[in-house]
Amino acid sequence: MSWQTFYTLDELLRAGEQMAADCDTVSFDLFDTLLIRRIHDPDMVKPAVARYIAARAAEAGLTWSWPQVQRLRDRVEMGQRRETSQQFEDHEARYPDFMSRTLQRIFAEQYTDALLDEVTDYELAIENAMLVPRARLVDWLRALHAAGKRVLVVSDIYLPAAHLERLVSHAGFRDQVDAVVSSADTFLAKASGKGYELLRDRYDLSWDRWLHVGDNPHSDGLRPAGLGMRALVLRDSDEKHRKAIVKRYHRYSQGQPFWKGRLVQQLLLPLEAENLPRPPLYAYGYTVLAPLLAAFIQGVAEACLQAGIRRLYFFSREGWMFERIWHAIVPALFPAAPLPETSYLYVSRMALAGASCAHQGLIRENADIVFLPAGNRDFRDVCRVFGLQTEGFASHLERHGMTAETVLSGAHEGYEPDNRLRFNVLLEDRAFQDEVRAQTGAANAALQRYLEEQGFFAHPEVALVDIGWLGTIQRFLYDAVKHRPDTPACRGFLLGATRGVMYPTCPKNSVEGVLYDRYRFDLAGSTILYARDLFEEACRAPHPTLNGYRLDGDGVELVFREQEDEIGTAEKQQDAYFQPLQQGVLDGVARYGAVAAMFGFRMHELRPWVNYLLVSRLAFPRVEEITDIRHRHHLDDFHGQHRPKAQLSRGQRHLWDYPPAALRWNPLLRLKFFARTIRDRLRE
Amino acid sequence: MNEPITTERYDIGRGEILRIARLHTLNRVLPLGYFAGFTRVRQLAVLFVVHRFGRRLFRLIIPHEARLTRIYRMLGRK
Repeated sequence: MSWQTFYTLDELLRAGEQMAADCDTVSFDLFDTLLIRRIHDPDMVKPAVARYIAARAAEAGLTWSWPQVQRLRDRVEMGQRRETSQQFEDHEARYPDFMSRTLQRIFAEQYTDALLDEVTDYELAIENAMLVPRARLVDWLRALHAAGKRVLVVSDIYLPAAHLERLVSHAGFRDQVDAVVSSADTFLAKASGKGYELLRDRYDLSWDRWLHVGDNPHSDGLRPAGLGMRALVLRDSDEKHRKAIVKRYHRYSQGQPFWKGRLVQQLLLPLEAENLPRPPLYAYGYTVLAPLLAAFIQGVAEACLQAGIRRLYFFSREGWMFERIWHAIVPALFPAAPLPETSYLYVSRMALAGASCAHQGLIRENADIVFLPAGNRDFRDVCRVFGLQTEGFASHLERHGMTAETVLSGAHEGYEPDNRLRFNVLLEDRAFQDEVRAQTGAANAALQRYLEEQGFFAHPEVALVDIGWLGTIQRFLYDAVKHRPDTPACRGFLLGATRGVMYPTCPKNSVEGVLYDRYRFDLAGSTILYARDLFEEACRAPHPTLNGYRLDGDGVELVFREQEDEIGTAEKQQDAYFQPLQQGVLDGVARYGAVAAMFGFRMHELRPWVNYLLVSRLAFPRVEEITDIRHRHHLDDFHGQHRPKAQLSRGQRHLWDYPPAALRWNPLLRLKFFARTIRDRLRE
Repeated sequence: MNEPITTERYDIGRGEILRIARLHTLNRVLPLGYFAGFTRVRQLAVLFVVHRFGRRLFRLIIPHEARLTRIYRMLGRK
């Protein structure tokens, strides 16, 4: 009997359905038939496993580089294939055998069976991340099972059937398969035809009532046809097209680092049943924000491991997204590393600002921050930000010739430089500072209790992760607790550090921007400043902002902002609008860890592509990208409600604020803003 | 309008290669930032063809894959 070859899945399914009607057994090849690989070369998962083993060896005090591990594995596997070939026609190997021998050679007396299990789990996890069930073929398999046919899955591979069953279970069709058979268990493979004879004997099958489907013309076509079976071979041109693209990106990435990030993104693309119709916001989250945020979290993880930091806090509210990305990618990226324990810390500038004054008082650097947003104007705004009662300061203001409405910001009508000088003198007034401390003491005590509950003081050094931009939250947090002898060294990691005000860096308190830091000359990275609100809203947690901490008996109560007023309602609308965007980000990062681990890419290697994404999507965006993604409502309690001078408002207009018509028809608009970016960076 | 992310061209967005090409050209006259050497025109041309016309091209050549591979190897040896 001859076999038939098909070049599209449609043709194969049509022929298969007809043939299956006359058969009572249908066997399927597994790899590249039922399960397709995201990568073009199946051996590419092996270096990731070699890196894992090398890392485990380093933990055990053994010096093995991953290429050494890889070479040893290849040698041991080849040795087993040679041994097998002396007894069997097929040159097969068996993973538990050659991997245990490899590990025994590396770990010697430190080898345990548990180690083999851990390595196996890791390899199968990477395999699972790289495999996708071919949806329509699996649907047909399910239909065959439902029609009462015997369904077998057969593979020539070094993984035993028990391992293949885990892959099939992960793919979701184990229950529709009668048996999973691997050549690794018997060393009888499809390639020689012995595997089919084994199946015939084991399951009492009849050649002429048996249909086999696979992708290899020899093993899945010639051999079964030679035995009298019906055979269908799929040479899927679309799959070969997809793999040719992956192969091209892989090849280019070896010579041009720019393509490394693009290669990662190619492997993150949803395939088969994952590839459902999605709204544009979801697609933007998946293809743009997901790689950017994943690269940021990878950078944070690498820095923590390098510094030996064992405790990490994600600041609310953007930390909600960062924490999820961390858990999605970091365990796969660094499977054998001592990762820091993580948790989500409820903080906000408004909640911490007051607490920061309880010991050091209201210092000038912190007071100046209030007047960075143009919406803040006077002492009432200072009191709002720092949680102070304006009434308690009337006599102090009067003593210095001021009122609560004296204009202290140059962005507003009525401002006199002398006002600010008098305000600065007020900050040096001891009676004024005593009142500040008295009003903020309770907030500070509550904050300390909350941090104690979170284990903040239990480590000598902690990492603090926030979106940016000035590092104000960390500044206030450190100011609030720095008087304590057990205060840990606080190392802040920001998505972007704009450093609009000088950060009070000291050995125990520092921040650094991962994607962008003003202290580095980074034109491409600085384009993140085009749409900071986009990143904030894309990462924002679905809970209201924190207003403060309140002592509650022996514990502490978190006081959140009301969400029923106009601002809260607008925020909920914005969150609902961006929900697909957030889902796109979360889905987009799901496989990032496995893919980056497979290639061993570090964050700095992905930076050229990250920079391209930033420049192309933020500085030179398409009109529809801006109109779809531009936020509807952006709210910040830190910013006051006062309206600044008209010329200042005009001066703050940015590319993303322009109407669609201007974006579409003014070809020089983007260039003008980028030239301004270059000028600003050079001036800095 | 809802659309699948992965299209028949297997690109990450609409006309992404052309977008890279545009920035690559612009980067030659205006510094855009650090791209580690960016890319080469030939790479962009190949990727454009593979993404844009690859689906049809592969449908044409895959039935003759074995013969083409043999010819390709012969040419490679020479």
